[in-house]
Amino acid sequence: MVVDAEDQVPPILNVLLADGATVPAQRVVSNVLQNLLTVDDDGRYVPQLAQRVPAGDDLREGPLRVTFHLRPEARWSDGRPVTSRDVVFTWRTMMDPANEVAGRSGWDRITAVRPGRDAAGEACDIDTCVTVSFDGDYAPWRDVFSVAGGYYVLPRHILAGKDFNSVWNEGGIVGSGPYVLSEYRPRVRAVLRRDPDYWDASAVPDDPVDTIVVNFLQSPEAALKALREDAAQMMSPPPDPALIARARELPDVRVESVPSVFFEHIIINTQASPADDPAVRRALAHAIDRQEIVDVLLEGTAPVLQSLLRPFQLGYRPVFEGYTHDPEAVARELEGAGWSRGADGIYVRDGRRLVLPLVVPSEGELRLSTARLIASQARRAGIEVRPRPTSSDRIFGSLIAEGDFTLLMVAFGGGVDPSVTGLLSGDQIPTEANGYAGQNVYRYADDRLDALLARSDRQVDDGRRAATFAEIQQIIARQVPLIPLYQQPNTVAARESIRGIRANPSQAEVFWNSAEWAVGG
Amino acid sequence: MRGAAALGWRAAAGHAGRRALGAIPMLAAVSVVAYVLLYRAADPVARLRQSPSVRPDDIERLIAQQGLDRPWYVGYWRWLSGFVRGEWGVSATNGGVDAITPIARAIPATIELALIALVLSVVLGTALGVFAATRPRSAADHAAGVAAWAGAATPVFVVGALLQLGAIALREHGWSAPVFALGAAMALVGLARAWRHRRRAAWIVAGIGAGLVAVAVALWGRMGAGTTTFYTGQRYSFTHEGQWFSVDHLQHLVLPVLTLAILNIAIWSRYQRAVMLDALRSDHVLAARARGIPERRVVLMHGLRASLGPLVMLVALDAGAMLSGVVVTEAVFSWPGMGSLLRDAAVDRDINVAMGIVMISAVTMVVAGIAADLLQTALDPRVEVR
Repeated sequence: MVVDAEDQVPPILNVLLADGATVPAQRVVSNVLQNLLTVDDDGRYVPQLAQRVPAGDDLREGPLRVTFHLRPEARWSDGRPVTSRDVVFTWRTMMDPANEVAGRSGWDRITAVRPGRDAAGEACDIDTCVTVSFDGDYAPWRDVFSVAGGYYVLPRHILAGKDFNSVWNEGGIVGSGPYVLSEYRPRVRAVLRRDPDYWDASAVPDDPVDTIVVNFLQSPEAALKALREDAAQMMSPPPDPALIARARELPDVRVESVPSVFFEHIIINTQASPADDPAVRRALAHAIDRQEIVDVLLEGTAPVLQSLLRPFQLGYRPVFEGYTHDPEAVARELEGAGWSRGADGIYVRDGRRLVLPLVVPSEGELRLSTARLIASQARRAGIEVRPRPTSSDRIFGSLIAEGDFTLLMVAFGGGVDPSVTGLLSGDQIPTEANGYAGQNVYRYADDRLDALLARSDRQVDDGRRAATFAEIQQIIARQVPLIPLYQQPNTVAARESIRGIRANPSQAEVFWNSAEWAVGG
Repeated sequence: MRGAAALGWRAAAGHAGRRALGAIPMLAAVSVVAYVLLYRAADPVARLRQSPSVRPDDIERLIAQQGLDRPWYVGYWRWLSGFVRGEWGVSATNGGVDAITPIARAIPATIELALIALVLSVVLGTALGVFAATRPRSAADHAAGVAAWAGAATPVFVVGALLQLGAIALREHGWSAPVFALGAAMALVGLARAWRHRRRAAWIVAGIGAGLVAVAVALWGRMGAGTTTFYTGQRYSFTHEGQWFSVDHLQHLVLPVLTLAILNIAIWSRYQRAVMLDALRSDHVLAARARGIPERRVVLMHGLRASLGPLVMLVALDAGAMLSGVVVTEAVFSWPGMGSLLRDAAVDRDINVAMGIVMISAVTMVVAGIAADLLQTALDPRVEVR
């Protein structure tokens, strides 16, 4: 038996619903439910219920059709086979307007899901072959059918005719994964028993973990204490270097971290003066010593991020490598734009000092320390950065959408697909006209970039898409609507007696390979 | 003068009824203030806003689906009109179940924690107060005073964290350290008393203390090291879920109960000491002593009995206020009760659940106040209910 200490309490277990889309619920459910694809510990898409990641003849463009071949041996825990009809049912469930699902990104681009037809329209096995048609060429299709996108294939024979908004909220989940949810006590714990008839026997070791107990605690400190007193054998500390360091000090505990899809960065409001000048933005990027932030505050638990994309994503280029702490480069940029050093060392133009307020969530000490360090680095280079601690509720509730900031430090994440269209497309800038809907909180608009972004979402061919992302990243590095700081680590701390645990960089989370876990030895 | 006994149950019931009716405007005010604070406190979809896979149109759809775009007074009126009919609304974060469902699940854990802490506080607070009052200005009285002030001045969450650290230290180092400390203290006190009073009992205490020190040193790190004595979180271990009369449950219960009780023990013991001192100086106690009644009987039957009335009043009033300590204690110890549910509901702006807990707490306070009045009149005939 392995007891996992979670540091939050999930309100409900159905992770597809808005109320259930929480990390602890995701960790429980990822033992039970599966998707056609998942993501491994290197951040690569790998098949789960599908035989392979669709490629070659499985993909047809104009508009996109993707054929999945399900593994014929795949079974739900009640013994019924997982079939194409379950994929159809999942799509319909996600798109049912009565269901309060958290997100429909990608699902709403699907026009049809056809069992027994391949991408070329030829007949194939109706149970294990299914083709998904989109309304255009939709490159981020993998996240829709991946655990890393936060989605799962649902059992039609269990859920048909049931109210999806309530049926799985307090357990009763039937899945195809290596564990069965045998007990769920709301706000207390979930108990997962190994399915003795799990269909993928090749993944199961000789001495598998027979029971996983997920205890819901109220804080990371409580989870760490549980690990320390052996009330739990594993936990996943949040990206807090102090907490991770304390976990490392525990005897017989192995701590493993991988840089995750979540990244800390500074959002620059490119419509707010003086940050509306690209020279000022580039100067700020040269003023910040990102390596020092990682070395001093993160104690090496996270790498400096050199792009908007993460290294394991398609098309990643380390385009921000040139932005090191370089006061001479700051001077070149600013003096070229008409700024000059004032008596107090801060640059001045037209009698106005170069002052940049930096909004930072007030809840975490790490971000406050980072903001203070950035302020001191920038001051040395002649820029005054003023940290403004603000509650996350206010930041995400109104400030970010209304653009009421100049600099803002927050973490973003998402799937493994590299699409950044929603973040940077000109038509995604939140405005009063669109009811402040839109995720381009950088408020950056560039016709050339818009064209590239639209193209990147249409390019199903990975090679051509990677080349497009290279161009996109070059523009970002030149225009600097954001400054990437570091990748937050996904960390797992576990007793050394548990073998097979491998931290995962994506939302597939730590239990992504729980079928392979073993105890003893 | 007419006491409750003289008035009878009818008068007491009438008084309780009047107090309950008088509390209605207060409860209404509490509900309005709590609703507005909860409404403005948090963004119910903030968590989703931070997820890039959830798009703005998804957020707008969810806000409309869950009715989160209504002004506060519309929501409040809807909540109030349902509440007075016994309908507490649905939970916004628990998949649409009735708000009462998560509350009902959490109530037993909170009642258990609060009641045991209350009983422990009353017993220890009274005992320490009597102990200090019968030894005024002695070293023991001063020590009890210092301990009480420390207990009263330390925030609940700090007490909880310190107890947790102590429990973890016990697990990692065993019982050697506390046995060593106890032995050393006994040896020092015994030696000091033996030097001053040259009594044999003091030598025996010093000898036992030295023995404990020797045992602790000899068995250092081997007295239960690696064994969990007190758990720092949750109510049961998985293997003992629901076993109320198990050692495992006791191991989970000790630290949160102590955390919740320490503040009340500290305050009530000081209060009891002061009231007891007054009682011991009263004429009827002096008369009892003059009649030759043994001192122990004088203290317990005359002094303690006379001093219990004011303490009962204080306990009844503080029992309602104890709920604030429950919120903190439950959060520190991941205790699955109403306190932690209230915290989560407030953070997630699950207004119906949070309002249910707030109103239960407010009604508890009112009931505790009425109970205090009635108990006061029952225990002290000079007090009149109006």
